[in-house]
Amino acid sequence: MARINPFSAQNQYQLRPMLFTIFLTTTLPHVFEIPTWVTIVMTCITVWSFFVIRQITRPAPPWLLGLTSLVFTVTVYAQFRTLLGPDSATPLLLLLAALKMQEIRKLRDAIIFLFICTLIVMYYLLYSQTLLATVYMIANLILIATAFMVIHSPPDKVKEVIRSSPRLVTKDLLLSLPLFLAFFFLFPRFSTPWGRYFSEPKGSVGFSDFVRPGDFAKLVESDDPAFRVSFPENIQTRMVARANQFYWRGVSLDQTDGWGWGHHPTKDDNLPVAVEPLQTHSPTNRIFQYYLTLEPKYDRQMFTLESTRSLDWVRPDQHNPILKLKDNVYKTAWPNIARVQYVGQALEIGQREILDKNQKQIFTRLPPAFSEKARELAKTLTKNQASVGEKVQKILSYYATMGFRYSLSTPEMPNIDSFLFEQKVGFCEHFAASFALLMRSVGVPARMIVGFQGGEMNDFANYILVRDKDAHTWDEVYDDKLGWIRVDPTSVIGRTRVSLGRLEAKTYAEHNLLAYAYHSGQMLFDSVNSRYTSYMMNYDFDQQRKVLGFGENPSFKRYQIFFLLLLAVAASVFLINLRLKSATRAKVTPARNLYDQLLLKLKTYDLVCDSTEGPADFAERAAVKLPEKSEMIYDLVGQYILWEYKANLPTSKESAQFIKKLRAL
Amino acid sequence: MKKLFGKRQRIYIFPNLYGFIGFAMFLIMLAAGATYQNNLVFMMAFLCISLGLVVILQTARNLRDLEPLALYVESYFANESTRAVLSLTNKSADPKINLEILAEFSAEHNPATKLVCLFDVSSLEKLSTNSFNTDVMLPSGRGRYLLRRIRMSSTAPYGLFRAWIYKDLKTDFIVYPAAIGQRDLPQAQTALGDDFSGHKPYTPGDPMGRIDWKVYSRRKEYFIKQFQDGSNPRLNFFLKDAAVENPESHLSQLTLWINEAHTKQYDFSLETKSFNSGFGCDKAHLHRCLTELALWPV
Repeated sequence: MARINPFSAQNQYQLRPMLFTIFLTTTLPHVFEIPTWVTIVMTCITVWSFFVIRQITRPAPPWLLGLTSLVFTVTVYAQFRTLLGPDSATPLLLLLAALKMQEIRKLRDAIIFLFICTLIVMYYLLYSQTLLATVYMIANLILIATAFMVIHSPPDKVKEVIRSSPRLVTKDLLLSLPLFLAFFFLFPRFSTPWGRYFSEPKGSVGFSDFVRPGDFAKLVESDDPAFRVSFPENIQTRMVARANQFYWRGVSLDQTDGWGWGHHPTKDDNLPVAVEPLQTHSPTNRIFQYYLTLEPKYDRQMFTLESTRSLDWVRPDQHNPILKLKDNVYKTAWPNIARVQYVGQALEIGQREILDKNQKQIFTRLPPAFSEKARELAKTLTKNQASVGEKVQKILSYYATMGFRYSLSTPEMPNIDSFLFEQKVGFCEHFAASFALLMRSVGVPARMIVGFQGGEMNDFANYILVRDKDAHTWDEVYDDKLGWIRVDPTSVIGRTRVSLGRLEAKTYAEHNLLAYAYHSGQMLFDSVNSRYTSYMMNYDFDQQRKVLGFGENPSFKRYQIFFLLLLAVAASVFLINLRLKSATRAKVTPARNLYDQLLLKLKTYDLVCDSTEGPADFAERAAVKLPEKSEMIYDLVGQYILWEYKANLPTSKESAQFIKKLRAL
Repeated sequence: MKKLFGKRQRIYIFPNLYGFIGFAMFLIMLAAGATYQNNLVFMMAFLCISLGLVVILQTARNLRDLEPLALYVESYFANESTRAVLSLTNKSADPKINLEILAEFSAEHNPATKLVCLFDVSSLEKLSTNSFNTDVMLPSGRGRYLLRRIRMSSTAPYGLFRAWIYKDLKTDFIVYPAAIGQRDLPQAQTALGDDFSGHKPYTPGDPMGRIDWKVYSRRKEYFIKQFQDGSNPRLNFFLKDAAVENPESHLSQLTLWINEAHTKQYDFSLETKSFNSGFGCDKAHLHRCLTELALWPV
């Protein structure tokens, strides 16, 4: 049987630019997240497709497209070792969509292309749950639905439909709003433990288990958010006052090759963390909580305040266990591919940790080939200094007095000698790495810590925003009396770097009102965005119960909420259908309304007006059948014709007279 | 004209292949939302499914308030194509697009023999009536064909669901026997007139008695003498039971002759045991004779 095919040859060149636009809008946000080779290949294919659309070149033959798809699939698999996770599926889908654009010849091709674009949009949401991501999703859904409408439009009306369909789709989306709200709030939230099978390890900048000075350069140039922290109690004021405590520990590096630092894994590394309520030891050392919302770009890494003693997910249905590693460092069992939120419990003053002899040996170990020159320097500097504190001070004063400079643009330095004796310029990694090595050279246990320092207080929402550029490294040295002590050698050189400089944003006002206004706008947007994201992230079954007013009532089950959902959906569909019916119904003029009443009356005399019969013809027929009433029939029908066909509206008096005559009929 | 349709009209809707793929996408989104505990993915899934439900209603809306007023299929010979015309009214306040209207006929004497007419209606404006044509290949079986039902379907506006509705309409048409045969048209009887009105070139089948031999002797070509008040040549066809071994081929032969006689504007008649058409040569007379042949019981 023949079917209407709106995707006819003559329409292809009207439809393809629209599909090309959809390709661009759906893929653009992904471009910065996918491997560089995918971006380059995709750009080439897209440019080619553009020329195809402009009819400058011919599309690739089907066999070439098939072969290229296969090559792309194999290459992506070779890179990611899976095709299921978002990191591998996204580039593959982008490449396939780019290729598919070349061979859109039939309706079927266009529909498959649109479905691929829908998946591309979905994959973006796995990485971002922000307000902008929501706007991106809704805008693209409208575009994709518009394309569905256009490709199914009558072939001779494509141009017209392209113009009108965005409005119609938006109307349909608005119509579906009650249904959407019912689904969103009432669909019982559930979670599956399959996430780990789809997650792929990624090498995030500077947060791998091995750091060589210079690795941070890219990270500190980025203004992107890393995480946000809020304090539920009214503790933040005091915390902000103690700005130097905002050291967010990420990785503890205890092994060195003489310049680079790495993490030595042990069998205790993979122990799930025990969540135990902490006891307050004294009124001066209170327990406090903090909520940290981490962006999904740090692989398995979690960031904690130094004195953190316990960590747990905010959402109880998270299936990714938190592991506590040695040195009070936390990681998740597998990479986080979406934003996560966890709650940490920390003490205002950290507890002293005691190292035994063997542990001390680990933290003083240096490679045999370690620079003799550096060893000699450390020994010379700390000569006659008995305590760890004095040794620290001596080495720090060496940095302060020997012309060292803090800079983000440093030349490449292959070893510690190059930094200490030749270049004398570097950023936090260079200072922290060299300091820890010098401390180990004189027998003081030392380790390097990688994490973040500082952050910016958002006054609109009372949270601290920590960005990539706040990434930092520092050291911890061990003192028998005090335990591990944090030492930040960078603070000796670049004091402005080691501060909550961003908390001082208000000083903008003194210099530039416009800059301050812009900054405030940014912070306001970030606070709104953060609240939205936090709500989106944490809307789980417990939240659903609260929204419905069931609170913590344990007797409220998922099937009950599902039943409510069905009721709400049924009611919404009924209402939408009523709305559509009333919109479809042809509007009846007041004159027609009166005429319809006349027809009803005549029906009682077995006179039925045919749908193709005009009023004059019907009046004639009625007059023949009812000769005694013919005069009145002609009068009433004539009156109707006058109103209807001369575009006159019956006045209320005329209507009343009409009804009166009708009754007398 | 009586009202053709009942009040209740049930519209059926079912997802097509793309609708099912769309539903599979929804399930994927749901699974992704649950796996990554991602409410934004849930939001997208729910927006899609909500829009999908509205699309169902919109697809049904595209069929609402549509009424086929009349369907006319031109009676013609078996195994040949004919023209079908459908008159369709849109009573709603919004235009209808991409309709497929399928009219199913079946033979009166043999319901298993079916004929389908398909009308592609790309658009029909609001509150309007329009006619749509299509060509139909007639089946080999002669007889009366009754319209069983009309199925109007559409996947518009999004192409993810197919909605359809059945309508009843009373109409029929005749499939004449196939106009085939081996034998030439019999010689027609000629009625002589009084006033000579002119000549016309001889064509096979013309009465030999009217050949003007004088003209032949001059021009060596045959011409027929025509008389002004003379009536058309006449042919009388008879159809008798068991007169022939193969009645179907006999009916086909008669159909061919009657059609030829009509083309040549002869007066012809058809006589059977129970029917006598009388003489005539117009289209209605032709239809009456051919209908008799089409409905001849075998």
